[in-house]
Amino acid sequence: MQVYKAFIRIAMKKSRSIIIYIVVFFAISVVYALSDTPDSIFTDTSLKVCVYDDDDTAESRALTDFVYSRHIRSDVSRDHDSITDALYYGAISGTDCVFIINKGYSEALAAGRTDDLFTFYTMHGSYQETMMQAQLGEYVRSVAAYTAAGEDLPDAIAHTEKAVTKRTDVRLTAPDTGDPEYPKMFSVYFLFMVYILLAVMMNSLCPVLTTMNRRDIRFRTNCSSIRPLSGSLQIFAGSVTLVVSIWLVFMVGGAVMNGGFHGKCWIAVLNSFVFALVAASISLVASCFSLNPNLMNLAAQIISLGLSFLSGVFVEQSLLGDGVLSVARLFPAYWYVRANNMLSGLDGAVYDGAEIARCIMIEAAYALALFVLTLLIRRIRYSETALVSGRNSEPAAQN
Amino acid sequence: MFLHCFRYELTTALRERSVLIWLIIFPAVLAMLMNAAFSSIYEKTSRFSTIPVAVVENSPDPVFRSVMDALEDEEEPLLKVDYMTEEEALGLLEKGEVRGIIHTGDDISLTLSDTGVEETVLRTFTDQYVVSSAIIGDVIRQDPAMAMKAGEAMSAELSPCIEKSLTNGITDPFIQYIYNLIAMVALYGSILGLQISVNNQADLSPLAARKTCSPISKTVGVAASLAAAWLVETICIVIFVTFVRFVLGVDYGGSLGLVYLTSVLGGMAGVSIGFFAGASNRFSYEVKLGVSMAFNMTLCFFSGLMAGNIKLIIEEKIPWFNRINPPAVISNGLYYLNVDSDLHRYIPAMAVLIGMTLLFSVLGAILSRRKKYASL
Repeated sequence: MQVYKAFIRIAMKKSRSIIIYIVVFFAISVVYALSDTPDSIFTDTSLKVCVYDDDDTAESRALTDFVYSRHIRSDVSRDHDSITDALYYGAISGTDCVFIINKGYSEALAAGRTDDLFTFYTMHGSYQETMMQAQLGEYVRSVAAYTAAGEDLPDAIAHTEKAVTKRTDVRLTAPDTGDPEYPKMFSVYFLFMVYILLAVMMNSLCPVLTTMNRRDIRFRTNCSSIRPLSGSLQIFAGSVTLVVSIWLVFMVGGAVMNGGFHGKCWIAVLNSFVFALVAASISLVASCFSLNPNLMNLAAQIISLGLSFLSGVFVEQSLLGDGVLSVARLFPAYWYVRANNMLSGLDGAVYDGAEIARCIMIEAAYALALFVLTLLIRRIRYSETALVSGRNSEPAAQN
Repeated sequence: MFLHCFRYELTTALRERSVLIWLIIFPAVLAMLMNAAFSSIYEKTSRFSTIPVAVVENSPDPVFRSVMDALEDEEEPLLKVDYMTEEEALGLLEKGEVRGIIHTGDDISLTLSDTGVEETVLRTFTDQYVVSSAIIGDVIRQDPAMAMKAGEAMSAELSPCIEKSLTNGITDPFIQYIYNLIAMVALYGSILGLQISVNNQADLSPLAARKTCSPISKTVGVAASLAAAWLVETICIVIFVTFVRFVLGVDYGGSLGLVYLTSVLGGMAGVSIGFFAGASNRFSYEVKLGVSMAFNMTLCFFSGLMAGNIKLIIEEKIPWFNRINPPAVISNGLYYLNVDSDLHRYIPAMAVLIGMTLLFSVLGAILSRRKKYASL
């Protein structure tokens, strides 16, 4: 067990970066869990709206109150730059709409004129602008109807305020609480596991395997009394121990967060285990190339971030372009995310047992293919001929 | 002598392979990924497009049908309507092919599968119909003779809003992430700045020890090192900006020449900051690099590289920080080029970058001078 012990000892020395990844992952997962608020009844989307009242009359103030009763008030300095900045960032987290109630609003309404009452600053031509303009239109139309029916403006506004409280009855087909056995909040934990498993596996397994594959250590092992098959098996056993340990840490963390696993959760657990094997296989392939730490770090960042971005971890699959999704289908992470979404209904996916099984089998096939590829590369790079003739192109050992 | 030193400093910097990795390859890959992931979000979530909806008629309602027909005839219709049975409609709703089901009959009602902006727009539309019906009923109760006039007013064409466009630039806010990526590459120039300081501190590298005992003015040596580092950073950042613009096809908005200028000035500021940070202490290169990268990434976080709205929050709470935080100044400079029609905000931002470059270069040079070593 000498090789196995050496493997574990080296792995323990590289544990610092693994612990950082794990701690950050758990912290983010807890924050996400705390921010999750499931919806069971329909609620209107409230916009962040800024109104400048140039008319400053009782009628315009009534309209301002109506707008702020449905939406969130946003105060923006009244200059071109501030309004531009506020609306530009609207799609991220800024202000959705800014408009002016033009001077002469109440006089125009009293006279039955409904054109050019508001000046609307536009940026995106967005749903938010369409929605706000529709609501203003509804309000003005109602006031105009009452004034046309002979009411004076204050009465028309009072009746309008009452009329606009009438709303359409809404029924939600599937309350947005997710599957009780596998809630959406918890499925996000498994979703982000794509990134974390790839990052942790590559940052833990690769350095250890690269160290074990270093020419001086490998030569020393080869000329020892340990049979080559035994040495390879011990390295394999060390890799399995490391991979399963890392995966178990995340499963225990998940079980604590969710109060154990129930029903469909177990399929998600299986899905994550198969993906852990995929991540380990990718690390095995990467470690065959004996990259220096800088390049290995770069490869780990590119592979973990790349697969996560392309496969729908950081951005939902439904929001990715068709071209991106076509490319993503070539990677195992896409199938993992697809199965995970179908299990919980995340990203509007619908549960389909057969399709989930197919996704998991595709992942397993990737793991197997990558493992076979590793064996092939090792056979070519570390063949006995290469060792004897010294044609090995690995960098010299560094202390 | 300056040119001699400059040539060797340039060769040294270009031979550093990690520079190529962290200043070109890593950001280029990150840009590819961000572009792939973010390029369709804006179109899919923010920009208005016609909302597909199913209508289930519990009893024939010719008035509602005529409203729907009129709506669909518009140039950019609000709704795309399909009439069908309830079972068909529920099937399409579950698949996400329609955003909602409108049930017509005695009372109008909605069936939705989600809560969001599109669903709220849909409800706003049906609310108008509900409110109109309520108002007509109200008027008929009070004075039936006025119902006709009220009905005409309800159905009249309205244009209460004058639209005022704020910019001719790119309105997709996700371009901010690319601006911040350019700012990150600029700040990564601090790696080159740190190397200058390490190559001039005789207790940190053999090269510095050799340079210290050579008959060359420290000022000339440092100036040559800085010039070489600025040139290397300029090459790297120009390659990156060109790659993003012409290979990935990202339109920055604004003048491309000024985008290059902003990136180059940002890169020079990054090198100078790294030079100052390196010269201000005698820690090893690894420690300097670790602290510097952590500090840089924190500054990039505050400028919105990881969370797009953080810069807005800072603008609200401590706006002065956005004026001096180097990555925020760079990304704001690019943003001003995009949205503003003139350079009234851009020029002060660039002045800050030039000021930072001069300040940190001079401070770094002062700290590099007159060092004494007990033994080497």
